[in-house]
Amino acid sequence: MCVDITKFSTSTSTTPVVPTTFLSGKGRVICDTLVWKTSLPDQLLLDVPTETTDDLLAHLSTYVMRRTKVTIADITKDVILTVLYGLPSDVSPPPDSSSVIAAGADPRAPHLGFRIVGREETGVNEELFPTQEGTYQLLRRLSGVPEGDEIRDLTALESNAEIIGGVAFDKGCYLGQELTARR
Amino acid sequence: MLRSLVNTPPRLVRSLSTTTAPPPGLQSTLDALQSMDPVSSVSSTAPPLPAPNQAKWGRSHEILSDRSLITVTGTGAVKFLQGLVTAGECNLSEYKLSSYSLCITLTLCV
Repeated sequence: MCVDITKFSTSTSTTPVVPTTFLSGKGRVICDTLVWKTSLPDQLLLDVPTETTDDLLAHLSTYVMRRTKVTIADITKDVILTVLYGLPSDVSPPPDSSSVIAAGADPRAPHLGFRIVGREETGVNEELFPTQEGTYQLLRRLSGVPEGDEIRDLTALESNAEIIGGVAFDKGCYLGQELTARR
Repeated sequence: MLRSLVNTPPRLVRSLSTTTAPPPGLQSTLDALQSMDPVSSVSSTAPPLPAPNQAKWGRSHEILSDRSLITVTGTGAVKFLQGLVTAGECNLSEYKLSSYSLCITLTLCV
């Protein structure tokens, strides 16, 4: 499957991804996450650093009650996460391609590129977008976006979560809100 | 200092003088530029600078192998996550009620 990035217009305002943070009961960060909406109405996709995956799965399973109508599954082995950097301003990958589960601009910082969650390698045009390993970590650190173990056990506001749009002060209560809302 | 310059062999002086002259290719380029009208030549020959996100050197792609993807599926997926994450949603009026009810559920369970 080859993604034709020239056929779709960019609309970052409708990016179906939200940065957020999971907190412990004491208000400390368990992991940072990007929450994707997928094509399925009852499905959300959590894009998390690998080093915090086990902690997040244990955390989620703690709160799955008998009446909670959710199923949690790790699909890391079945999908590929690709990031495109330096997109021309008028094009973007297709969000409705058959192999693409979710796609959108990274909402945390404008330089973090366009993420594509696909069921198989998305076949990016190598001539137009050559492979450049390590770009993500470099751009992420330069943009001040922490991830994974870098922010474990900090509070949400100590980890730039508010700056990257990951904290809502006007929503209802959530786990760890007391320590987050009073800072 | 003056004595050392005076005593410099003629061959060395000649070689120094030749190295300060522009190379042949550069000299012809300078001559061509001097013969052109400065304003019109710049505006007609200089390509427009690309925007930062359009520069080809800035384009690349990368497959992230250090990320995990977890699905939360079910009719209660949004309500479930709303009570656990710090971010809000567009439809706050709907989620406030759900997260409130989840909070009560958690309180009762604890």
